Amino acid sequence: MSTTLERPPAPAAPAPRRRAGLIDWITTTDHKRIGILYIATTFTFFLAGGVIAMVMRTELAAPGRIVSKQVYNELFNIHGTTMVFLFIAPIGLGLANYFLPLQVGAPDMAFPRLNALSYWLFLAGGLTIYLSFLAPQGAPATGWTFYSPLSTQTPGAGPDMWIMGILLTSVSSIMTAVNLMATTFLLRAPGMTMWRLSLFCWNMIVTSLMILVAFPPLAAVLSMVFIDRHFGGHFFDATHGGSVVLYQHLFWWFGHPEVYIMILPYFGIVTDIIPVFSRKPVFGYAGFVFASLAIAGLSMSVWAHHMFTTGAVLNPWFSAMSFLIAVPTGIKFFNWIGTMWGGKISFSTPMLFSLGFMLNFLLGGITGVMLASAPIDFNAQDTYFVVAHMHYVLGGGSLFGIFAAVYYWWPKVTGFRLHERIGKVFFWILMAGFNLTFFPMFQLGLRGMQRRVADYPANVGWTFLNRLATLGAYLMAVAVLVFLFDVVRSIRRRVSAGDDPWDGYTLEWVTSSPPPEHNFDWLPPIRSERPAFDWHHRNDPASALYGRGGLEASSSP
Amino acid sequence: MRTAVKVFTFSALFSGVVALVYWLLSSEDAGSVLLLFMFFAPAFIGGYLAVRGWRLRAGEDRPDADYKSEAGEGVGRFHVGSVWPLLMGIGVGVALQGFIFGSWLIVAGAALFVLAAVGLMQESRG
Repeated sequence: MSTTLERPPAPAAPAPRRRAGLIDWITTTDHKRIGILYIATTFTFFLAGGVIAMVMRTELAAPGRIVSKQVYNELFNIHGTTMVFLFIAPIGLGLANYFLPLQVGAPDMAFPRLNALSYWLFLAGGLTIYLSFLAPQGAPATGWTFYSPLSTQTPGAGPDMWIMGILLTSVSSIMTAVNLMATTFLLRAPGMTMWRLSLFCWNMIVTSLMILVAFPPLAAVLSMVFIDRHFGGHFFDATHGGSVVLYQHLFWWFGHPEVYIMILPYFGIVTDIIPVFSRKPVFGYAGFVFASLAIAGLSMSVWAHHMFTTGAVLNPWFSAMSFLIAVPTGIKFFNWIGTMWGGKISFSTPMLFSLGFMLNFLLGGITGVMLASAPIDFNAQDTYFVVAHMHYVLGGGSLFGIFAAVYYWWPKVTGFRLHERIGKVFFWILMAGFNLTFFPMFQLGLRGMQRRVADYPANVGWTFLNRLATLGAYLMAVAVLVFLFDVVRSIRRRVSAGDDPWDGYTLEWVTSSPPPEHNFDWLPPIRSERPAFDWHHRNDPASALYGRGGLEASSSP
Repeated sequence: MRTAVKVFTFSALFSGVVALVYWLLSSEDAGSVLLLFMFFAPAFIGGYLAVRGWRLRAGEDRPDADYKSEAGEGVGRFHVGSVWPLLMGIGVGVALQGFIFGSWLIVAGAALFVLAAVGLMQESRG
């Protein structure tokens, strides 16, 4: 069933809503429902990955073992895989699924059925990866990087299921990227020029571009591993003229941009949130867009800084390009600080998470610059210093950005509000737990503790710091329970939040909460990057609509 | 559309320069080929958009356009529900498992995929 849509001459009366059944959900092509499916599914995977992390931290709390080395290896592989492929990257796509069409003023994604197919492929991929635990020899114990020759020589169906799972999620991501770009380029509302797009939308364009370039080689390299495993290929077999360094080139060609695919959506989200809670327009809109494009370009040119110690890559090139990324990233910090400077800052929960994002990401970014220096990297390679750096970027950065988005957009998706005080308690417990978990890991790394070990000797002085890290991990688990309590409470109490509880800037705040089918019954004139603010404050001199006579008569709903 | 073309063109130019400099400095094959791929991908899309859309100046590209002035303009055709994406997803998932657990799964998955593809095409015409 399809609907041909035209721009209506006058606002339509809102259609009566009915409760969606199971069939409606599994056959849906509505971007909002698909977005909710993505977010719910990825969050479920996050909880599973979090439980695995708790087991790992419990194991590492003290010398001695509670799980076998084999099980530990399987767990850290699936933990990394979950967070990278099944949570942080796809929840960004899920949020974009829901909000990008709303922010550009589109009735849906450009290809609604392709969008639904993307979700089902993602779900199939995630389930395939988790079902590998049931394979006769267990899940692959290879690490999420799946390095050859370990991956080509590990027996059992587990590694094969991992490959197929990643292939499915890769294809899903590529299709979503195409859809997001087509929607932004072709379905924007009248007046929504590219330079009036929200910065979340701009960052999703950049993220999509990176997905299109980074994911196909990943699919290729995993197919090559599969061929090596089952069809007598020797792509990565040095004894037959293959090269394991080739695997690393192809994998990190995907792997490093993937870090930015996992962080750029949240750069965009916090850059939408900070102006709203500072009551100012964003500082340096164009600079932010160009900085995102520069990050994308540079991040595609630094893949082999993960390979400094192979001795087979041009270290000065990759060092220099990696250092350069600090420049556009620094510009973003200027954007955020400049936006807050002189603003009327309100420390609501989304703003707190945005500030937490900035602080944690700053630590992750600075240690990234350190690791971009080959001499430092030679010392820190495969130590807990790298683990801490990576988690400050993706946990302290992306995860806090995700929760900023959840608290900011929850009222739009559900029509209800999450509790401010509970949200703040959640933020502070998570902030304390996160830093208690990962800051000691910098020190552990500097003291020489290797990553990916299930156990360590009692006499090397690592036990106290590991106990601190484990305590922090338990605190993070408590924080997540507080968040779940807040979510359940909000759904059960159903306290209406209104259509625009934050006095928001972007277009999603002019429609109802939750939005109707095909999103908008009418649209206001779009004259700046803050169309909702302009419309709601059209008699305010700060608005781009101020002083336009007769506007209300011609445009009101 | 012009901004989109510029974004892709800029991306392609940047990638082309990086690919060339990297090749000259490193003479390393894998990375140079990948960077060349990074040049072709945006160049292809940007080239297509430049040919098809450069002169297109739709409402979304006009800073003074508004909702009322576009009344009656076609936006597109949007499906509100379809079972075929789900079936196609199951088909692809099952077929890939066939490479691990037995070729009969490839046949079953491919059959479901073809059925779903036909269903999608018929739905598009309907």
